[in-house]
Amino acid sequence: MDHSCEQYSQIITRWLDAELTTDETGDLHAHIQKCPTCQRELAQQKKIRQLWEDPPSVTSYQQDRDAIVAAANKLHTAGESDQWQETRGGLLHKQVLQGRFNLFGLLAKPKRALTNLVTVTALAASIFLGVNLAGQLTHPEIAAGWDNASPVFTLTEYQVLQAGGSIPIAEDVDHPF
Amino acid sequence: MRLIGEGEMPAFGQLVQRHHSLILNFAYRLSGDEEMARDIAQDCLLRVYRAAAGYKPQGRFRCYLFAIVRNLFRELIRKQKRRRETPLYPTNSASNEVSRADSRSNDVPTPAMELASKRLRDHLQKALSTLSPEHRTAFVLSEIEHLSYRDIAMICQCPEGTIASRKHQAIVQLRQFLTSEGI
Repeated sequence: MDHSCEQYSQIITRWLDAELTTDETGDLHAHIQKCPTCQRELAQQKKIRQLWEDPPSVTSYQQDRDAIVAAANKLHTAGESDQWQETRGGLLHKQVLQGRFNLFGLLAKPKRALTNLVTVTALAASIFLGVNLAGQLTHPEIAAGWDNASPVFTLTEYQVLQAGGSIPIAEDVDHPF
Repeated sequence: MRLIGEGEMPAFGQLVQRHHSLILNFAYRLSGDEEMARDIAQDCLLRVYRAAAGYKPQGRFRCYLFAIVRNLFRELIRKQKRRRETPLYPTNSASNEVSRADSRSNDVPTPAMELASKRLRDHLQKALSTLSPEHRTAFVLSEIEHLSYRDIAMICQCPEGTIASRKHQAIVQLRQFLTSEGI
Protein backbone atom coordinates (compact mmCIF):
# COMPACT_ATOMS: atom_id res chain seq x y z
CA MET A 1 0.00 0.00 0.00
CA ASP A 2 1.13 3.50 -0.71
CA HIS A 3 -0.48 6.34 1.22
CA SER A 4 0.30 9.99 1.67
CA CYS A 5 1.02 11.29 5.18
CA GLU A 6 -2.45 12.87 5.21
CA GLN A 7 -3.98 9.47 4.64
CA TYR A 8 -1.75 7.99 7.32
CA SER A 9 -3.09 10.59 9.71
CA GLN A 10 -6.54 9.02 9.32
CA ILE A 11 -5.05 5.56 9.61
CA ILE A 12 -3.34 6.59 12.86
CA THR A 13 -6.76 7.65 14.22
CA ARG A 14 -8.20 4.25 13.33
CA TRP A 15 -5.18 2.47 14.80
CA LEU A 16 -5.51 4.32 18.12
CA ASP A 17 -9.19 3.28 18.10
CA ALA A 18 -8.14 -0.34 17.53
CA GLU A 19 -9.97 -0.44 14.21
CA LEU A 20 -7.14 -1.59 11.93
CA THR A 21 -6.60 -5.07 10.52
CA THR A 22 -3.29 -6.82 11.19
CA ASP A 23 -2.06 -6.05 7.66
CA GLU A 24 -2.97 -2.37 7.94
CA THR A 25 -1.25 -2.17 11.32
CA GLY A 26 1.94 -3.70 9.91
CA ASP A 27 1.91 -1.24 7.03
CA LEU A 28 1.39 1.71 9.39
CA HIS A 29 4.22 0.65 11.70
CA ALA A 30 6.58 0.28 8.75
CA HIS A 31 5.69 3.78 7.55
CA ILE A 32 5.94 5.47 10.94
CA GLN A 33 9.41 4.09 11.54
CA LYS A 34 10.74 5.98 8.55
CA CYS A 35 8.47 9.08 8.56
CA PRO A 36 9.12 11.88 11.11
CA THR A 37 5.92 13.70 10.08
CA CYS A 38 3.74 10.73 10.96
CA GLN A 39 5.70 10.18 14.17
CA ARG A 40 4.78 13.73 15.22
CA GLU A 41 1.19 13.16 14.11
CA LEU A 42 0.99 10.03 16.25
CA ALA A 43 2.43 11.86 19.27
CA GLN A 44 -0.05 14.74 18.86
CA GLN A 45 -3.06 12.46 18.49
CA LYS A 46 -2.03 10.55 21.62
CA LYS A 47 -1.68 13.86 23.51
CA ILE A 48 -5.15 15.02 22.47
CA ARG A 49 -6.67 11.72 23.55
CA GLN A 50 -4.99 11.85 26.95
CA LEU A 51 -6.88 15.06 27.67
CA TRP A 52 -10.15 13.14 27.51
CA GLU A 53 -9.21 10.64 30.17
CA ASP A 54 -11.04 12.92 32.64
CA PRO A 55 -13.89 14.17 30.43
CA PRO A 56 -16.42 16.90 31.31
CA SER A 57 -19.12 15.36 33.45
CA VAL A 58 -22.11 16.09 35.65
CA THR A 59 -23.26 14.31 38.77
CA SER A 60 -26.21 11.97 38.77
CA TYR A 61 -28.29 12.79 41.84
CA GLN A 62 -30.51 10.36 43.73
CA GLN A 63 -33.20 13.04 43.68
CA ASP A 64 -33.29 12.97 39.86
CA ARG A 65 -33.36 9.19 39.75
CA ASP A 66 -36.25 9.10 42.22
CA ALA A 67 -38.16 11.65 40.13
CA ILE A 68 -37.79 9.47 37.04
CA VAL A 69 -39.06 6.38 38.83
CA ALA A 70 -41.99 8.41 40.21
CA ALA A 71 -42.86 9.62 36.70
CA ALA A 72 -42.75 6.03 35.43
CA ASN A 73 -45.00 5.00 38.32
CA LYS A 74 -47.58 7.52 37.13
CA LEU A 75 -47.36 6.07 33.63
CA HIS A 76 -47.71 2.61 35.11
CA THR A 77 -50.92 3.55 36.94
CA ALA A 78 -52.37 5.20 33.83
CA GLY A 79 -51.33 2.15 31.80
CA GLU A 80 -53.21 -0.20 34.14
CA SER A 81 -56.36 1.82 33.60
CA ASP A 82 -55.99 1.55 29.82
CA GLN A 83 -55.33 -2.16 30.12
CA TRP A 84 -58.49 -2.63 32.18
CA GLN A 85 -60.51 -0.99 29.44
CA GLU A 86 -58.77 -2.97 26.71
CA THR A 87 -59.60 -6.34 28.27
CA ARG A 88 -63.27 -5.43 28.27
CA GLY A 89 -63.30 -4.09 24.75
CA GLY A 90 -63.74 -0.61 26.13
CA LEU A 91 -60.85 0.90 24.27
CA LEU A 92 -62.52 0.59 20.86
CA HIS A 93 -65.56 2.38 22.15
CA LYS A 94 -63.39 5.07 23.68
CA GLN A 95 -61.38 5.49 20.48
CA VAL A 96 -64.49 5.76 18.29
CA LEU A 97 -65.99 8.35 20.61
CA GLN A 98 -62.80 10.37 20.56
CA GLY A 99 -62.56 10.11 16.77
CA ARG A 100 -59.17 8.44 16.82
CA PHE A 101 -60.11 4.93 15.75
CA ASN A 102 -57.35 3.37 13.65
CA LEU A 103 -58.18 0.12 11.90
CA PHE A 104 -54.56 -0.68 11.01
CA GLY A 105 -53.43 -0.01 14.55
CA LEU A 106 -56.15 -2.34 15.76
CA LEU A 107 -55.14 -5.10 13.35
CA ALA A 108 -51.53 -4.72 14.41
CA LYS A 109 -52.54 -5.96 17.88
CA PRO A 110 -54.32 -9.27 17.27
CA LYS A 111 -55.18 -9.87 20.93
CA ARG A 112 -56.94 -6.56 21.27
CA ALA A 113 -58.57 -6.95 17.83
CA LEU A 114 -59.99 -10.35 18.85
CA THR A 115 -61.38 -8.96 22.12
CA ASN A 116 -63.05 -6.10 20.29
CA LEU A 117 -64.36 -8.40 17.57
CA VAL A 118 -66.01 -10.64 20.17
CA THR A 119 -67.53 -7.61 21.89
CA VAL A 120 -68.85 -6.11 18.66
CA THR A 121 -70.24 -9.48 17.49
CA ALA A 122 -71.98 -10.10 20.80
CA LEU A 123 -73.46 -6.61 20.72
CA ALA A 124 -74.67 -6.99 17.12
CA ALA A 125 -76.15 -10.43 17.88
CA SER A 126 -78.00 -9.07 20.90
CA ILE A 127 -79.48 -6.22 18.89
CA PHE A 128 -80.47 -8.57 16.05
CA LEU A 129 -82.16 -11.06 18.35
CA GLY A 130 -83.82 -8.32 20.37
CA VAL A 131 -85.34 -6.67 17.31
CA ASN A 132 -86.52 -9.99 15.86
CA LEU A 133 -88.03 -11.30 19.08
CA ALA A 134 -89.77 -8.00 19.67
CA GLY A 135 -91.25 -8.28 16.16
CA GLN A 136 -92.48 -11.84 16.87
CA LEU A 137 -94.07 -10.90 20.18
CA THR A 138 -96.18 -8.19 18.57
CA HIS A 139 -97.85 -10.74 16.27
CA PRO A 140 -101.10 -11.82 18.00
CA GLU A 141 -100.90 -15.48 16.85
CA ILE A 142 -97.40 -15.94 18.19
CA ALA A 143 -97.98 -13.95 21.36
CA ALA A 144 -100.90 -16.20 22.23
CA GLY A 145 -98.84 -19.38 22.08
CA TRP A 146 -95.71 -17.93 23.66
CA ASP A 147 -96.17 -19.53 27.08
CA ASN A 148 -95.92 -23.08 25.70
CA ALA A 149 -93.21 -22.70 23.12
CA SER A 150 -89.58 -21.79 22.89
CA PRO A 151 -88.80 -18.75 20.72
CA VAL A 152 -87.15 -20.96 18.10
CA PHE A 153 -90.10 -23.37 17.90
CA THR A 154 -92.55 -20.51 17.77
CA LEU A 155 -90.67 -18.93 14.93
CA THR A 156 -90.59 -22.20 12.96
CA GLU A 157 -94.23 -22.86 13.62
CA TYR A 158 -95.05 -19.32 12.54
CA GLN A 159 -93.17 -19.77 9.28
CA VAL A 160 -94.87 -23.12 8.58
CA LEU A 161 -98.31 -21.70 9.25
CA GLN A 162 -97.55 -18.67 7.14
CA ALA A 163 -96.32 -20.82 4.22
CA GLY A 164 -99.50 -22.96 4.44
CA GLY A 165 -101.74 -19.89 4.24
CA SER A 166 -103.10 -20.22 7.80
CA ILE A 167 -101.52 -16.97 8.74
CA PRO A 168 -101.82 -14.08 6.31
CA ILE A 169 -98.56 -12.61 4.99
CA ALA A 170 -97.60 -9.10 6.02
CA GLU A 171 -99.41 -7.29 3.20
CA ASP A 172 -102.60 -9.23 3.97
CA VAL A 173 -102.56 -8.18 7.60
CA ASP A 174 -103.05 -4.59 6.55
CA HIS A 175 -105.39 -5.49 3.67
CA PRO A 176 -106.94 -8.86 4.58
CA PHE A 177 -109.57 -8.69 1.83
CA MET B 1 -36.34 -5.22 30.29
CA ARG B 2 -38.74 -8.19 30.24
CA LEU B 3 -39.60 -7.58 33.90
CA ILE B 4 -40.10 -3.87 33.26
CA GLY B 5 -42.35 -4.73 30.35
CA GLU B 6 -44.42 -6.83 32.73
CA GLY B 7 -44.84 -3.83 35.00
CA GLU B 8 -42.19 -4.64 37.61
CA MET B 9 -41.39 -1.19 38.93
CA PRO B 10 -38.44 -2.31 41.13
CA ALA B 11 -36.71 -3.58 37.98
CA PHE B 12 -37.13 -0.16 36.40
CA GLY B 13 -35.76 1.44 39.57
CA GLN B 14 -32.64 -0.73 39.26
CA LEU B 15 -32.22 0.19 35.62
CA VAL B 16 -32.42 3.89 36.48
CA GLN B 17 -29.87 3.50 39.28
CA ARG B 18 -27.50 1.66 36.99
CA HIS B 19 -27.72 3.75 33.82
CA HIS B 20 -28.77 7.27 34.78
CA SER B 21 -25.23 8.57 35.16
CA LEU B 22 -24.16 7.09 31.82
CA ILE B 23 -27.11 8.62 30.00
CA LEU B 24 -26.84 11.96 31.79
CA ASN B 25 -23.17 12.38 30.99
CA PHE B 26 -23.55 11.41 27.36
CA ALA B 27 -26.40 13.91 27.03
CA TYR B 28 -24.27 16.56 28.76
CA ARG B 29 -21.32 16.01 26.43
CA LEU B 30 -23.60 16.29 23.42
CA SER B 31 -25.59 19.31 24.54
CA GLY B 32 -23.07 21.12 26.71
CA ASP B 33 -25.93 22.16 28.96
CA GLU B 34 -26.51 20.54 32.33
CA GLU B 35 -30.23 21.28 32.65
CA MET B 36 -30.90 20.08 29.13
CA ALA B 37 -28.88 16.94 29.81
CA ARG B 38 -31.01 16.19 32.87
CA ASP B 39 -34.19 16.61 30.81
CA ILE B 40 -32.83 14.37 28.05
CA ALA B 41 -31.82 11.72 30.60
CA GLN B 42 -35.31 11.73 32.10
CA ASP B 43 -37.01 11.55 28.68
CA CYS B 44 -34.68 8.77 27.62
CA LEU B 45 -35.42 6.60 30.65
CA LEU B 46 -39.17 7.16 30.36
CA ARG B 47 -38.98 6.15 26.71
CA VAL B 48 -37.16 3.01 27.76
CA TYR B 49 -39.94 2.33 30.26
CA ARG B 50 -42.70 2.81 27.68
CA ALA B 51 -40.92 0.68 25.09
CA ALA B 52 -39.98 -2.12 27.51
CA ALA B 53 -42.89 -4.40 26.61
CA GLY B 54 -41.91 -4.46 22.94
CA TYR B 55 -38.14 -4.37 23.45
CA LYS B 56 -36.16 -6.85 21.34
CA PRO B 57 -32.46 -7.08 22.16
CA GLN B 58 -30.36 -6.06 19.16
CA GLY B 59 -26.75 -5.37 20.12
CA ARG B 60 -25.61 -3.93 23.40
CA PHE B 61 -28.06 -2.31 25.76
CA ARG B 62 -25.76 0.70 26.20
CA CYS B 63 -25.95 1.31 22.45
CA TYR B 64 -29.74 1.24 22.66
CA LEU B 65 -29.63 3.93 25.36
CA PHE B 66 -27.12 6.04 23.45
CA ALA B 67 -29.29 5.83 20.32
CA ILE B 68 -32.29 7.16 22.26
CA VAL B 69 -30.23 10.01 23.73
CA ARG B 70 -28.85 10.87 20.30
CA ASN B 71 -32.35 10.94 18.81
CA LEU B 72 -33.67 13.13 21.62
CA PHE B 73 -30.75 15.49 21.16
CA ARG B 74 -31.37 15.69 17.41
CA GLU B 75 -35.04 16.43 18.06
CA LEU B 76 -34.05 19.29 20.36
CA ILE B 77 -31.66 20.71 17.77
CA ARG B 78 -34.38 20.56 15.11
CA LYS B 79 -36.86 22.30 17.40
CA GLN B 80 -34.35 25.00 18.21
CA LYS B 81 -33.55 25.53 14.55
CA ARG B 82 -37.26 25.89 13.81
CA ARG B 83 -37.62 28.46 16.56
CA ARG B 84 -34.44 30.21 15.35
CA GLU B 85 -33.04 30.30 18.80
CA THR B 86 -29.37 30.46 19.66
CA PRO B 87 -27.60 27.16 19.03
CA LEU B 88 -27.24 24.53 21.72
CA TYR B 89 -23.92 25.41 23.09
CA PRO B 90 -22.42 25.24 26.43
CA THR B 91 -23.51 27.40 29.19
CA ASN B 92 -20.84 27.28 31.80
CA SER B 93 -22.44 24.94 34.25
CA ALA B 94 -19.86 25.34 37.00
CA SER B 95 -21.99 27.83 38.91
CA ASN B 96 -24.99 25.52 38.56
CA GLU B 97 -22.98 22.67 39.94
CA VAL B 98 -21.94 24.68 42.97
CA SER B 99 -25.51 25.74 43.78
CA ARG B 100 -26.70 22.19 43.28
CA ALA B 101 -23.93 20.93 45.51
CA ASP B 102 -25.36 23.00 48.34
CA SER B 103 -28.83 21.61 47.98
CA ARG B 104 -27.90 18.02 47.20
CA SER B 105 -25.25 16.82 49.53
CA ASN B 106 -25.00 13.25 48.13
CA ASP B 107 -22.54 12.21 45.40
CA VAL B 108 -20.85 15.63 45.25
CA PRO B 109 -17.14 15.59 44.34
CA THR B 110 -14.79 17.22 46.79
CA PRO B 111 -13.86 20.89 46.19
CA ALA B 112 -10.20 19.96 45.75
CA MET B 113 -11.02 17.54 42.94
CA GLU B 114 -13.27 20.12 41.32
CA LEU B 115 -10.65 22.83 41.37
CA ALA B 116 -7.95 20.58 40.01
CA SER B 117 -9.80 19.60 36.88
CA LYS B 118 -12.35 22.38 36.42
CA ARG B 119 -10.31 24.57 34.10
CA LEU B 120 -9.35 21.71 31.81
CA ARG B 121 -12.88 20.31 31.72
CA ASP B 122 -14.27 23.72 30.85
CA HIS B 123 -11.85 23.98 27.96
CA LEU B 124 -12.70 20.49 26.80
CA GLN B 125 -16.43 21.15 26.89
CA LYS B 126 -15.86 24.37 24.99
CA ALA B 127 -13.76 22.46 22.46
CA LEU B 128 -16.52 19.87 22.03
CA SER B 129 -19.00 22.65 21.34
CA THR B 130 -17.00 23.73 18.32
CA LEU B 131 -17.78 20.42 16.61
CA SER B 132 -20.92 19.74 14.61
CA PRO B 133 -23.47 17.49 16.38
CA GLU B 134 -22.53 14.56 14.11
CA HIS B 135 -18.79 14.93 14.74
CA ARG B 136 -19.38 15.46 18.45
CA THR B 137 -21.50 12.32 18.68
CA ALA B 138 -18.90 10.22 16.89
CA PHE B 139 -16.08 11.64 19.00
CA VAL B 140 -17.82 11.24 22.36
CA LEU B 141 -19.03 7.71 21.65
CA SER B 142 -15.62 6.63 20.43
CA GLU B 143 -13.23 8.50 22.69
CA ILE B 144 -15.17 8.73 25.93
CA GLU B 145 -17.61 5.84 25.80
CA HIS B 146 -15.08 3.60 24.01
CA LEU B 147 -17.54 2.15 21.55
CA SER B 148 -16.38 0.50 18.33
CA TYR B 149 -17.02 2.18 14.97
CA ARG B 150 -19.48 -0.60 14.26
CA ASP B 151 -21.56 0.19 17.36
CA ILE B 152 -21.40 3.92 16.66
CA ALA B 153 -22.48 3.31 13.06
CA MET B 154 -25.50 1.41 14.36
CA ILE B 155 -26.39 4.22 16.74
CA CYS B 156 -25.92 6.95 14.13
CA GLN B 157 -27.40 4.85 11.31
CA CYS B 158 -24.57 5.50 8.89
CA PRO B 159 -21.64 3.50 7.45
CA GLU B 160 -18.57 2.70 9.56
CA GLY B 161 -16.40 4.62 7.09
CA THR B 162 -18.40 7.76 7.81
CA ILE B 163 -17.81 7.31 11.52
CA ALA B 164 -14.06 6.84 10.97
CA SER B 165 -13.98 9.99 8.89
CA ARG B 166 -16.00 12.00 11.45
CA LYS B 167 -13.80 10.82 14.27
CA HIS B 168 -10.64 11.86 12.45
CA GLN B 169 -12.06 15.26 11.50
CA ALA B 170 -13.15 15.77 15.10
CA ILE B 171 -9.61 15.03 16.33
CA VAL B 172 -8.16 17.50 13.84
CA GLN B 173 -10.62 20.26 14.80
CA LEU B 174 -10.18 19.68 18.52
CA ARG B 175 -6.43 19.81 18.15
CA GLN B 176 -6.64 23.12 16.31
CA PHE B 177 -8.98 24.60 18.90
CA LEU B 178 -7.07 23.40 21.94
CA THR B 179 -3.77 24.57 20.45
CA SER B 180 -5.27 28.01 19.88
CA GLU B 181 -6.39 28.00 23.53
CA GLY B 182 -2.84 27.24 24.60
CA ILE B 183 -3.49 23.71 25.85
